[in-house]
Amino acid sequence: MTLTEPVTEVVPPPAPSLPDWPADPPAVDPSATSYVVVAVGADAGTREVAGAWVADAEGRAPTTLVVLDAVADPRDRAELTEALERARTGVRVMAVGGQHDVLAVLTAARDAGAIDAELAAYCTHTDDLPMYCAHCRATHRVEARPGEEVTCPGCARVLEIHAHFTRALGSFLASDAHAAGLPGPTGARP
Amino acid sequence: MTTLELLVTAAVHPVPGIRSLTLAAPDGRDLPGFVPGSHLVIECGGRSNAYSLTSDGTAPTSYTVSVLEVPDGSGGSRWVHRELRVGEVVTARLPRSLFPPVARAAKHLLVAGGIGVTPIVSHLRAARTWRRETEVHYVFREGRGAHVDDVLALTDGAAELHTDRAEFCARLEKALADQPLGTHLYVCGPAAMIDHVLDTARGLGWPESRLHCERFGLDALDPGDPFDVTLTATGTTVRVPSGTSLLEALETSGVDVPNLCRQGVCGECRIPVAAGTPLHRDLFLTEEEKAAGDALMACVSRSAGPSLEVPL
Repeated sequence: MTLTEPVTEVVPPPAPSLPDWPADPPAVDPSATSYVVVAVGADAGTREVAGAWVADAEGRAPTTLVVLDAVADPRDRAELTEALERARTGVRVMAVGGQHDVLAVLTAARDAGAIDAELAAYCTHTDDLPMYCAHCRATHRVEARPGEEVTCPGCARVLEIHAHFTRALGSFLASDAHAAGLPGPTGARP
Repeated sequence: MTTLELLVTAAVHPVPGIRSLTLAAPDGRDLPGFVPGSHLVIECGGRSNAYSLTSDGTAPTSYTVSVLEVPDGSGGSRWVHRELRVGEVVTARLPRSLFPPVARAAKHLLVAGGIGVTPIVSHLRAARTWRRETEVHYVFREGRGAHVDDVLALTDGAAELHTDRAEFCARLEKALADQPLGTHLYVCGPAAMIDHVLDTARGLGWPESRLHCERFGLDALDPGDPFDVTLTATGTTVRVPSGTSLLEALETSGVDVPNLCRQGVCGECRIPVAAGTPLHRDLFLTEEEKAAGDALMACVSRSAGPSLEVPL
């Protein structure tokens, strides 16, 4: 291509990169040799799903129930980490709770070495999510959905939550909602 | 460059029945690097045999392979043992990787049987370089263990050596039941041993994607039913009798199909299928690829029905 030819920017169609939650709680995988059931939050739906999983799993293999108030709480976090460290290959980790908490548990499990075949999850609601701010580079819990605008709890910018969930960070990507209207490079904010 | 001319610079018999070759470029230049677990396809007196590389794959100036003599085999290993001499040049393909370590694994559980230790040695060299956590179980016949010194040195003596099959099986089951989350299993050895290890792991809840194996080749296959193959490019139909492979039938009728191992391992003779249902008998295609039914390995696979169409 010569420099005089006009350059047409090719924008690929958006790839679906949102969590695909099952409509009903997934069944207990009978091939496992142990189970870790993680329930976050105290609502009745979470308790009910966790209870049903434990009742089924206990009849098949050794089962650990981990009940957490909040994944961000250091003591709760330590309990989850310990359960994952104790887990042996052959385990299935099952998480239930609100979307933010379930994603946090799945991310912790993946960090501990789990792969998709070893994970199952059920969200009792999708009212909140973990959001990664591209500017303050931290993950925050926000009550919003992809496509919506929120004020970043970290840096106070107005952010748009993009319809992109990144597993590596365990978060939805968010960036300045009005950056496109800002002045050019000389006046750009960092 | 698809082939390498390699000079045999050294050859030793470390244990009875095994000859280890050191190969280098005749002019001493660097050789292509390779991924741990890779193998080299060497032309062995008219046969092409695949041998796992046991040396370090980073910027190598030489390759080493260890060859077990198989007295009732097709002759390649006998040629390496009895004909090939130091100072001679062999032709080899570039190293091929079909048994690589998983970089994200939290731990690598390596299980070797007999001469199947060769790719495991290569894995251990890389594991040492990258400080990967490993656990090794190596079962071999008393007095016939190749690379035992390498395995012990690369694991600081932690490798578990087994010469009793029953004791190995019992220890293996315990080991498979007690691995941290994130462990990947790698097994290489005789077919029956690989099947036993993988079945034990599956029974203990290991997901398929954590299991990795390298097979030497297929045990003798049944001759199969005869079928017709239609070549859509020319419209001709070729009969494939029982006992003749599709690859042989195509070659006889003047169709060249690239091939190497001729035993369903290397993946070289893969041909597309336009119509008909393949009867897969290879070790190369994944389960998904086999289910798709749009390609087969002509050296071992056949037709499930009376005819097959290939766009050749």
